[in-house]
Amino acid sequence: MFRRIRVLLVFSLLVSVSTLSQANPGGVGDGVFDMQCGGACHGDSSLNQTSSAIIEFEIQGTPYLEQPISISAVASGSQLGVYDSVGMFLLTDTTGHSDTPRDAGWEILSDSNGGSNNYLEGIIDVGMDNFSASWTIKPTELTTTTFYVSIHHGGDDIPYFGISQGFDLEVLPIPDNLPRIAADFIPQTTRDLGVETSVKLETEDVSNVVIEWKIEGSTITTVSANSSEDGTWHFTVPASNQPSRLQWRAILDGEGPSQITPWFTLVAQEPPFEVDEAAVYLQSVALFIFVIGIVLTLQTRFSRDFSDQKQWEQTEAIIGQELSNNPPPLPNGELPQGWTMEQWEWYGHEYVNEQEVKQ
Amino acid sequence: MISSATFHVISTELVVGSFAMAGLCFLLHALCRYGVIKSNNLIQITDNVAHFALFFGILATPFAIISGISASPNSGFSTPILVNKMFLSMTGFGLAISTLLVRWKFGIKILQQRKTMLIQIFAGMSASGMMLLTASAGGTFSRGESLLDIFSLPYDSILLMPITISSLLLLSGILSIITAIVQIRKTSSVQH
Repeated sequence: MFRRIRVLLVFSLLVSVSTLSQANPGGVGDGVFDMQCGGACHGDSSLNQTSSAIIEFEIQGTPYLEQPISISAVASGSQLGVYDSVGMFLLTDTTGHSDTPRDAGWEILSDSNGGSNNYLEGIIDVGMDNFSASWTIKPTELTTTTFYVSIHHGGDDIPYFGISQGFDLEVLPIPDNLPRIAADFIPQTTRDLGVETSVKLETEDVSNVVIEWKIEGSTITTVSANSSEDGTWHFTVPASNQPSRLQWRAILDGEGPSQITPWFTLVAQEPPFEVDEAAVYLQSVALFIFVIGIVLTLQTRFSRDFSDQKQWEQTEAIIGQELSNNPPPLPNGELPQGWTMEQWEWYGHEYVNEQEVKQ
Repeated sequence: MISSATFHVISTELVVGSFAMAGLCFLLHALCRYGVIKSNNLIQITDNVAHFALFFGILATPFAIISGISASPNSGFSTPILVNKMFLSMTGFGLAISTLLVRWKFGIKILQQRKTMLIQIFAGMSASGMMLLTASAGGTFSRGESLLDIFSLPYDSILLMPITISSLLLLSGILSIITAIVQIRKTSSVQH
């Protein structure tokens, strides 16, 4: 009884120290995800509750085919100020699947975290009650798309979800002689710390390029880009000694009306982790095979000793055989009353001893 | 269809649950053998459950590895945690397979002799430990936290051997396996 109570107490203690939660408090990292992350961002989407956050977003630029525009979103509300980690989506419908910009014919060129993902995670600074993110995207086909921005965050072990109103964008064909960025231009999104960076820009129908760049909290700096060959321009931004986000945009002049590109984000960060994948795979296989070999060798060796010992060690069998083959002589040449021969072979010597003691 | 992330969660829960049960049963078996727990029934039960749980865990492990690779947000080993996960899971997988092979090939007598029983239990519990560490590393990678964080495990450091040393390790492992197989066949032919 006491043992059962003890076991019950241990189980109760284990259950009481654990917390029940449907959310992933550490987030899942940036990525290209559908609205419900396939269950990854929040453990079970059916348990989501509605966030009280207000989501507003702004679109900069005209959506010409293959030309970038930017979408900036801000989520705010007193509920956000309590929790420090937030995830924000850029979506193209609200069905929960096949709803990324790529699914609707849009390519994400850069995001405000230095990647090219539709789902971004971030931390709300102490004392702030808003979270912002931005994306630079371009249409790859002539279409009309409705964009949404949604937000995921936690609180009291409950996953919260909120989504903005939709905003329709119709993609337009490119007018003749429009100064523009080349259709296949992919902006650089990251750079290493402490390195002065030369950024390359490819254009079409452009005769002059002026660059404006800024770092969060500072004023805009203007520089002229240098042309190295037809349609290719370069400009240099200073090194950053700590992780930071630099934003730049280009003012394109040509025969057509001047164009201003959306802001592109260039994130300075620690160099990414690199490892020789062949060495990792080889070491993994080597460890796998090696431990199998070690265990098999040890067990084979010790079990061989065991079987050798058993093979030659026949003492018990011989003693047993001798005992069973040498029963004491029958008293008066016949079995005692009620005994069988098999019983006499095994226990006869005990009967003889008892008779001797009685006499 | 479910996403690879969800399938990875399902398969890893199966793996971790099976290996945790196997590890617990190996521990109970050792306690029974050393007389800390006095129950003859438990000896047989823990032997059966430990090895069956290990077998089920081995079946589920490849699914966990494959779905984990598919579910990884970036291709390849983007952080040291993923490298450590690879090393831990492969070592645990190897230990589990060898433990099961030995039990299958040598039968119950492997648990009746002190030395072989100790090796068997050590290998089985190590396999469970490796898999639990792998799961902990996975939790640290995906959610930023794990139950084993209290031990401050160095997931950010990796012990990567040169290719030459890994090749030697692989070679010695292959030779050990071949030698062991030859010995097993020889012993088998003598006994029969």
